[in-house]
Amino acid sequence: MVVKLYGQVTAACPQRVLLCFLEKEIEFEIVHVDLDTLEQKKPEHLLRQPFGQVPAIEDGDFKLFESRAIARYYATKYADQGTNLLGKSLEHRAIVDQWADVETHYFNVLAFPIVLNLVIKPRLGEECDVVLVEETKVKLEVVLDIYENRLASNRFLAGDEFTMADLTHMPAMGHLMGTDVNRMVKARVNMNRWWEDITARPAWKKLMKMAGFGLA
Amino acid sequence: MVLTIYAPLFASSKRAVVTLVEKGVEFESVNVDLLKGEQRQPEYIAIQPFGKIPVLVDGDYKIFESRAIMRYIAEKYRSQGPDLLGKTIEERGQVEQWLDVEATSYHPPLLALTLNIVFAPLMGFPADEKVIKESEEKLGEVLDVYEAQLSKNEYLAGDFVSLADLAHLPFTEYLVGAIGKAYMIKDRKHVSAWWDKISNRAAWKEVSEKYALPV
Repeated sequence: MVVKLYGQVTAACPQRVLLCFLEKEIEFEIVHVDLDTLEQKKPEHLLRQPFGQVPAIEDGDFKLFESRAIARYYATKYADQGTNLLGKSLEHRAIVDQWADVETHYFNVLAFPIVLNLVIKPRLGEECDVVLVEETKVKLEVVLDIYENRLASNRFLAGDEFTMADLTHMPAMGHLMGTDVNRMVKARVNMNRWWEDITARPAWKKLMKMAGFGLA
Repeated sequence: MVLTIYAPLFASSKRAVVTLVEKGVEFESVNVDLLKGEQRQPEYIAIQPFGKIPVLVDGDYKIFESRAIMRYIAEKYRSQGPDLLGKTIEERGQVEQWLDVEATSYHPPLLALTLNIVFAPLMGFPADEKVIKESEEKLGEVLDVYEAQLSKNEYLAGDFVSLADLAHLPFTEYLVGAIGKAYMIKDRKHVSAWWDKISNRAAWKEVSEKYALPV
């Protein structure tokens, strides 16, 4: 039996899980939940994800939501297969967790309003909050400086190897790089190096193809 | 060598502190006064580059992000105290799910309420009434989902207490206390019963008393 992922392949949070599946060479099936028509708020989906969000997974009888929890679960369950995403020791794993949590608390809180206003709202025919975007970009510059410093002495966020800490950033970064925020990344030598490195990975290229983005 | 946790008087640190106490781990603490901006001093930035709290220092090893610290302690001291991660990979998956729900859906509106109602007067910035109203609405919607979940399970991840439940303690204490919105918990039968259970655990009572913020 193959795990079913409920979501939209172009959306960042489902992409986080898909990228984990691809890195770990786990077979999966996507069941499309159409965000443009708000299918995620309908009763059928609310049974899978009570907050009305995507993704959710069903793996036989086992169900889970929250993309980062799903990714951690599969990275743990299939520890011996595909890319090792969780570090080599308890201490290393905790540093992976640390930078993965940094994505949630420092990066996504800024990336999300920018992507919402510059990418999603236009598609839904809604007005963009220009002031909020500019204010958020200023805050993002500060955070990216910290990342730049970290990546100056580490090849990847948690050390020498690609881990969940890097993976978890990729979907939202991918969307941001399609906006003028890409200048902020390109202006920082180490962030740019890191982004080029991680987007050269075969799993990312496969994901971009699935999402119809061509080559990132 | 003894573990050191920074800024134990503040809510985010208390997630880590309560985990240490639940697991019976010895530790020391160092105060960092956020009201005076000590977290922005160079000596602190050297250990937490974002200038946020907490940090845990274990000899040469440093780790920040309260929930990452919780996971680290729960894993490292797995064989002592309650097992806060579940017994199987599937149970762990549920713990991670609800820990992430706390981080992404519960915490943001509750943090907005905490900052605008508790800390605005203390730090002299104006409270945003619109944010307060929207945050209370959002938090109410999240609590409705919790009410449904807790009518089926004793704790968030199942019939065992886990990191997911503990992560809610510090800021919910503000909600029922200084924020003055205890009704949000008390008016929901199963959420209220869950709150009574987890907030009366010996570890939390010890942490909340010993590390009370003198405001």
